[in-house]
Amino acid sequence: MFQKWWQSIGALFAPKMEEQALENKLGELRERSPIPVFWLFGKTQSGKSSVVHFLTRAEHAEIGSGFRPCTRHSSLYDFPDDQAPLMQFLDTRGVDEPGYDAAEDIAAFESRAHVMIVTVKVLDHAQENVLAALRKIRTARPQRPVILLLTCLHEAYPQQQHPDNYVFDAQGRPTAPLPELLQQNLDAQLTRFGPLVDRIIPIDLTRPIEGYHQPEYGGEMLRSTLLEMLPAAQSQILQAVDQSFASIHDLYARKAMPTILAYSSMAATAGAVPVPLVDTALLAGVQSAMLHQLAKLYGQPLSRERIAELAAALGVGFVGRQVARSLLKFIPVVGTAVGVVTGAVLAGASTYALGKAFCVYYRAVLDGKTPDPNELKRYYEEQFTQAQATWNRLRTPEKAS
Amino acid sequence: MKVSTWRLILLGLLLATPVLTLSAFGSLYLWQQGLSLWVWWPMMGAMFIGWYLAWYWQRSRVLLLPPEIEVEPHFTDRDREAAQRVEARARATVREQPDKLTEPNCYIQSARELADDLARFYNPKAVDAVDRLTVPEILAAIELAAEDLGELVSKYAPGGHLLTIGDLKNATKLAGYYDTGMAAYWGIMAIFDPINTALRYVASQAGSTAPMRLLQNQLTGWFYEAFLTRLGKYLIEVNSGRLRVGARRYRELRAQMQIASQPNGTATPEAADAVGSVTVTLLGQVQAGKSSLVNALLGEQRAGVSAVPSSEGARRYEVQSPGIASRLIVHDTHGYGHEGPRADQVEQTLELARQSDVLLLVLHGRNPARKADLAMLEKLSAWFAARPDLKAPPIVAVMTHVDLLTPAMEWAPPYNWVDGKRPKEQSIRDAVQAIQEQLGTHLEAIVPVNTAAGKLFGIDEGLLPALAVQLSEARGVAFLRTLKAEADRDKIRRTFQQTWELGKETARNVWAAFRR
Repeated sequence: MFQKWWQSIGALFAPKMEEQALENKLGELRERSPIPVFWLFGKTQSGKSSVVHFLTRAEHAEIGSGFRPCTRHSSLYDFPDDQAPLMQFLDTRGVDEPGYDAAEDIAAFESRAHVMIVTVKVLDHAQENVLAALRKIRTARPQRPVILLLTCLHEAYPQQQHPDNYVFDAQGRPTAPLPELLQQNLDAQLTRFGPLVDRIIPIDLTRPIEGYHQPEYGGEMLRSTLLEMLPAAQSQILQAVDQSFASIHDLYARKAMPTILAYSSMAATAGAVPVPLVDTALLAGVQSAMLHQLAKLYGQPLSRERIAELAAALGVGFVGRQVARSLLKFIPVVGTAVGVVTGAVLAGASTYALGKAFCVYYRAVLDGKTPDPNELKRYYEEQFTQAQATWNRLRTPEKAS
Repeated sequence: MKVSTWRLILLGLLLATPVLTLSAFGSLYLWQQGLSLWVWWPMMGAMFIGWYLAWYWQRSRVLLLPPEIEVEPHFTDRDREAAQRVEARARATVREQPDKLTEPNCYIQSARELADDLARFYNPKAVDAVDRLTVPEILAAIELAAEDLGELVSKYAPGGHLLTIGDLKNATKLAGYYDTGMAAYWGIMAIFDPINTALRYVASQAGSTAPMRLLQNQLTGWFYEAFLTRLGKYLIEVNSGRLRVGARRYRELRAQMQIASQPNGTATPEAADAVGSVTVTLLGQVQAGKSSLVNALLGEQRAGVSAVPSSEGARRYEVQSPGIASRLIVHDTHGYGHEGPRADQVEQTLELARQSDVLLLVLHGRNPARKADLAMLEKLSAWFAARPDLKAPPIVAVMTHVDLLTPAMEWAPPYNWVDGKRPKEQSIRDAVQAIQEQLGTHLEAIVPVNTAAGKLFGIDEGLLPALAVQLSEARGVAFLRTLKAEADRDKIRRTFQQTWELGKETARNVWAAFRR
């Protein structure tokens, strides 16, 4: 099926590229794409999957089954999938096991993880293993930020709602009187972990069924802390994901969004290659891989007719423009620098707009309507312009640095 | 003896003469009339049906219930295995050598073999295992077995108190008289109707004689089995060292235990003092909720509930709970970390566990990291497995903090967690199921509770009944322990009281009598 699909895509997006070569290139892009990698560290049920859910909005069951073993004691979750990840979560479960040695994970995640998120239930003081491993990990790479999440606050005040406002400062110290039990336990945890971590965030991320008025108590603090701690590019991705969740309400489009963002990021990475014409084929490959992935999300096979219809509606503009840009790279010296930046932006923005337009198109197909080509084209242009503006704005600080 | 035998034969002949004469003349008449064929065949049919029914009922239903060996609650696994050996042995002899069972020698022989076999079972490495047992122990076993057997016979065999070995022999002889009488009858009949008689003889041999034999064999077999199982039971007690306290004291302790096992209140204070206090030891991870559980169990805030772990060791509490006749002594151990119990913690728990009737494993309902608990359970079970003379106490898991389970904001007990449909009930059920999967093989029961003040759940309605269920078993352990403690204390005193020479002399006499 894949092959058949690929042949039809390949025919559409010239110039042609060998399947295996493209697969290798995509793998390379995945590696170089600036996606944030979080290292989750803590005991079972200390709230790790709640953190993943908070950052990705993926279903709990999906998160649970998404984790694949990657080292002896750890597993890896690619969000939304391993074809085009937008975020990666490393989960060290082995910390529960007697005699867990952090050395293996330190070696495996050494350069990979951007931020370490340690989860500790505020009432749970049996943390000898976590502490011991954390000391080693901290020593191995002191510059990597470590955020401590003190979770399950409500267990200290059962069957009571959280305080109306978030009552902790950036170091986890209370700014208002707390229930006595929470205060005692919080103090003990702050003393225990204080010297080993950069930030401490008391937090309570609960599922709606638990019945709390604020199911994401402390969530904002976590979000702003992560944005601050992550490297700029990774921070942008996190921001983009957050924004997309805030603005999109269609369920399918929301699910599609991480995929679109991931491929756009990969496309931008591909576009930043300062060698002319290679990126055109690669971009076509990235975009068609995205369309395939999105079609899977929508549960609708990506037929030749559909692609033809979509291509006709949008025009071949998105590829044509990229070809023009590639030609620009032929011009030595000046051309390359300009080509890199604008190529990245153009590739990212066009992929993003294509993905968005595809969603609108498939939404219409799912609703049994025939999408209006003019409407679709207008939407594509609008998304493209918007994305281009955003990308340019986001790129600016990085270029300056 | 001879005279009475002749008298019996004479009586039998005199009583049988009219019947035999009539049947002889009747047969002659029927033969002369040419009716014999029409009359004899239906009679034979009736005989055949009778034979079949006799055989069928005999086969499917035993006339006497087998005297099953009572497995005492204080028996350890090794004792239970030994009891099974005894039973198998008795059954095998009854099945394979039914003819020998009426001979007194057979009983002596079997008793000796059984004693040897059990002694070797308990001391597999000893050269002559029987020699390890002390004389008073053996005497106590014989005394107790004899007493038991007397009770059993007078209870189940009518007129059993008059039963002698001679009677058993006579049971065989009576069957012999029946055979002789029948032979005479067939001889007479053969004169009148040779062909039919031959046919009927074959049918009769197969039919009526067999049930008679079976009945006889069953009575002797039943007696033999009763004899061997009683003896076996006390030989087990001897080999386990529990009879070291002597037959009289053993009987006293048993009686006390039986009184103490009675439901509510019938236990006398004396009996309760001896075995009536039940000891419960709580173990579990740091902050699993052990102290709160003690508080909930005692109904008073007796244990200092601390929000952060305290460094104190185990604490002891005493309690009289409704539903449990005896006093409850509760040991609250110091919790172990999630990386597993330290060597000294295992040591302390083992020490308390061997004093305990029931162990309560306290598990936090919201903390699924239970490797440490599994490690502790495995250490306990390995320790007891290496000591077959000690019975491992049953372990009941108590899952605490039910109120924190999903939905966390809700608290609306009572929760029917067994088959309820509410979300919280489902959550409790799932959490119990998780424990079952993780640790189930080590546990007798899992009870979800909530111990927070004002939010008590599962103590009176769940935990106490679960403990009470374990107590018939638990009391067995208490019994065993009391006996062991007493034997150890008295051992020294007795060594001085009885001279070794006297002991050896008595031993020789007893064994000479036993082996003769």
